[in-house]
Amino acid sequence: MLILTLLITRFLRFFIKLFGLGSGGTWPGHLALKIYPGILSDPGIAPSLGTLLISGTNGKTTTTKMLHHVLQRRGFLVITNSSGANLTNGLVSALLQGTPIFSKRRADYAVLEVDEFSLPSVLNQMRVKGVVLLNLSRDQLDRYGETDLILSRWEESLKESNVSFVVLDKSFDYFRNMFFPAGAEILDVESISEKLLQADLTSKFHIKNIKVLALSDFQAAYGRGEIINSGGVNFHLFLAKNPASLTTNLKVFEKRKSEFDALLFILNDNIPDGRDVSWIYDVDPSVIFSACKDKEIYVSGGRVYDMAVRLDYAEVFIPEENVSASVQSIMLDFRNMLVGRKIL
Amino acid sequence: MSKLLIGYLYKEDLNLYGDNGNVEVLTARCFGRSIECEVLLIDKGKLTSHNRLSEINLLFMGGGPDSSQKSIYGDFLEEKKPFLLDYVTSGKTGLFVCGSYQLMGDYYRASDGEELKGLGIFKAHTIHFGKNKPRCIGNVRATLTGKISSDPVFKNVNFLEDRIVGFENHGGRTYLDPGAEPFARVTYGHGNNSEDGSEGIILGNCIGTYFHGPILAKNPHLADYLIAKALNVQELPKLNDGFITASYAASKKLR
Repeated sequence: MLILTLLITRFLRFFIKLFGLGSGGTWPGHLALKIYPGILSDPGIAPSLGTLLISGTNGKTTTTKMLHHVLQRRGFLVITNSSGANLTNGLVSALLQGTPIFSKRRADYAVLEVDEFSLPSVLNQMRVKGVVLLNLSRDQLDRYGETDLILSRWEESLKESNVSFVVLDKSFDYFRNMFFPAGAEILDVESISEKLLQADLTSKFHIKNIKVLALSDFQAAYGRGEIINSGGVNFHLFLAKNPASLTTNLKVFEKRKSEFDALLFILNDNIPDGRDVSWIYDVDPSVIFSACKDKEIYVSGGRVYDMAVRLDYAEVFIPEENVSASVQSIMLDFRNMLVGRKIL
Repeated sequence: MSKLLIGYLYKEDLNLYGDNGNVEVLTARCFGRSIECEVLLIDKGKLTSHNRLSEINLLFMGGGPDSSQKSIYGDFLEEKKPFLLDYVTSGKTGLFVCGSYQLMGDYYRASDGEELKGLGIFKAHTIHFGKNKPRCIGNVRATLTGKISSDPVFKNVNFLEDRIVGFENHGGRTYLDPGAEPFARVTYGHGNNSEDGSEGIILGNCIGTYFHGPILAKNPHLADYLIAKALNVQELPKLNDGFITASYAASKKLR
């Protein structure tokens, strides 16, 4: 069954690539799950040394990229779902990539970011060596109900699993009260000294994530503090999807006030963004005001006017002509818009 | 003009889905009109520590995740009930969003059958059907019922229309007792229970609702209505609401 699934999905992936239909990050896995629903439990797709899962609200993509980088530099063959395809189909796609067919070498490790809500079902199905739990904050609650529910599901699935270690940050109250499997080693991020860290990543989340790995050279993941140069202008991209990450970003802007001239806010409400945009009011208005003060402010996105109103209530001045609707939520369009728009 | 004193219940524990923004909006809309406005935070503990309770003319309470609601539940029922009962029945102005709207009713029956007693001030009860019925999530719109829309004060401050827009996200479904008056009639979305078209409740000048957004950021006419009622004035000076009007218009098309 596995061989058949592998053959079919390799074929599909080949066609997706050939015709430029996408990156092949989710469809092969989607099809594989249709043909062989139990594929995640099949030892045939497991990497030889183990699977590491990274989950939480903020920092999954960055941490996964860092961990992948570290293992690769140590000479391991590592597979990952770097495109952010973090639901079951994305995981299966990545694992299939690392599975040998004919003569290719089997991957040593799989480093996979997993959506918060998918983590329990993944843990139930596959053998996992280690789990990194980053943090849990109010994000996309409209999609998932409440954080309490996610925590209790994490706890339950970890208890049932036989992971050998869990990395987490005990400065979060909710982790302190969690019950973990007896056989697993629990590593607290807080116990790593700041002195060990050198990477120049700007926000608090990043620092905590670096602590997970304690490494020094690394390039930021897409949309997470990434810098793009176009026409002699540097565009710095930040992604915020909840009050915690927006606040962190705004504080970075305030600290580095002299390094930029304009700010463009893009607010969207597509399913990956979270349909509910109420959370923008959970950010302290004084933090918004200080970050925006004396800068040229632009606003866009599917929920452009909600963002404009929010900034307006925080007493941020926005020239009317700097407000325009309709930007697709996908990051590529975000990038195109920044490049195509005269900001400076 | 007199002063707006907003009583904000359990700010620390209940501030899910941006409901904090409601108080920010009220404050900003007073500030824009040079109306004096102050926020009095009321947290867990004895009410006797507050000596200005009687001066509060606008009361606000939001909702929170289950764990936070459990943490304030005992205090809400034991310490705050007499004050709230007196506040609502004396005709003062208040806004209770989501979780607090549910707790102001008779009871909340969880999906496992366990019943949490409410304050019994709002004549309504809430049932969580667990997996049998889906969560009520999404953009929502409703038309205000006559109690507000025919109020001359609302007509004076309303520069939009008789409708409100917002976002709802609740597992529990609320059913009003016969005779209880809904706050609005749903035109898009679920409202109280996704069955009878009702949304929220209005009792005297206190409103219970499932609308987030936050509701007052999305619906400035409602914010102004609450301010005018609380201050007992017939009208308010106009504000420059360009973006807000555009946001309201755009929200009417959301799916």
